[in-house]
Amino acid sequence: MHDDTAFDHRPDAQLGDALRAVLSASGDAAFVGRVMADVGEPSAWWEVLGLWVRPGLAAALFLSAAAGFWLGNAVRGSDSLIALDEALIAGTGNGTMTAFASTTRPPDVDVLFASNEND
Amino acid sequence: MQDAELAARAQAGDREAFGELVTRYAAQARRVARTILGDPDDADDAAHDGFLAALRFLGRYDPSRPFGPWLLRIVANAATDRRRRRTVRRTEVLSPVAASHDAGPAQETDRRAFVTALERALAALPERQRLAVVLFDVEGYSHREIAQMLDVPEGTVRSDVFHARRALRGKLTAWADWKE
Repeated sequence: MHDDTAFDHRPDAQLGDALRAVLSASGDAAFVGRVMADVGEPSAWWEVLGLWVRPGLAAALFLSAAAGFWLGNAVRGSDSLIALDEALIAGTGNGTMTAFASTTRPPDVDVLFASNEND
Repeated sequence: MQDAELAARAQAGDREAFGELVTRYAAQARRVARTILGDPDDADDAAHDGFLAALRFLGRYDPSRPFGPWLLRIVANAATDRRRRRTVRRTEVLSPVAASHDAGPAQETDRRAFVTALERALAALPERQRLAVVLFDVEGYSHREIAQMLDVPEGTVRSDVFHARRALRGKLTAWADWKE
């Protein structure tokens, strides 16, 4: 080992060799093999696809259910029964006619008679 | 083939390219991990973890810079994490406690005794000084590269190398005449 200043900017070869002897372990090749065993082999495309089958099916089912629920709500909302009394109260003359014209469902008869009795 | 090219191929999924990088840096990575952990088996586990982490993070590697320091920083972090997690178990080869109760180097004269004393002297150093002197005197990295690896100023690395060398030389005075 050198006796000159420890601030020497050059590596101390003798100290380095001694430390290398202390720290080095045999079996570098085995170590490399162990690491590479965990890296694994590249997969074929059908193997990759196979891994995605289950999550893909689950996602498709979920999306189908969500879409069906949303569509059902939308259809029910547009075809909902308009109560005649609401139409009569909400508007006068033209409003009532607009309400009748805009629905595809017939008016509720009970509500219609009740409205006439009130009048 | 240069390290950067191998790294690019490995990132693209070339297993052989990554294998070449592991082969090139296995010895260094194992020594760096052992410098931190002491125990050779723990060191191999940490170096193993470091290589797998490096593979995952290859996208973050800047190919304009040397690959070795980038990799060894990951390995050193893996070793440090492992040291923090592990509980005290089996005798550690590089135990600082053992170093402080050294039986006295004058009684041993063979090379094995020298190695044992050096192990203990190394273990007695603070971790950053150990790493600095090993990376500088064993692995041949520059102060600047070591500073980047350890995330400390370059002056700190110089100081660490200085103190580590002085401590090692001081404890090994008895073997001053030991030459290869």
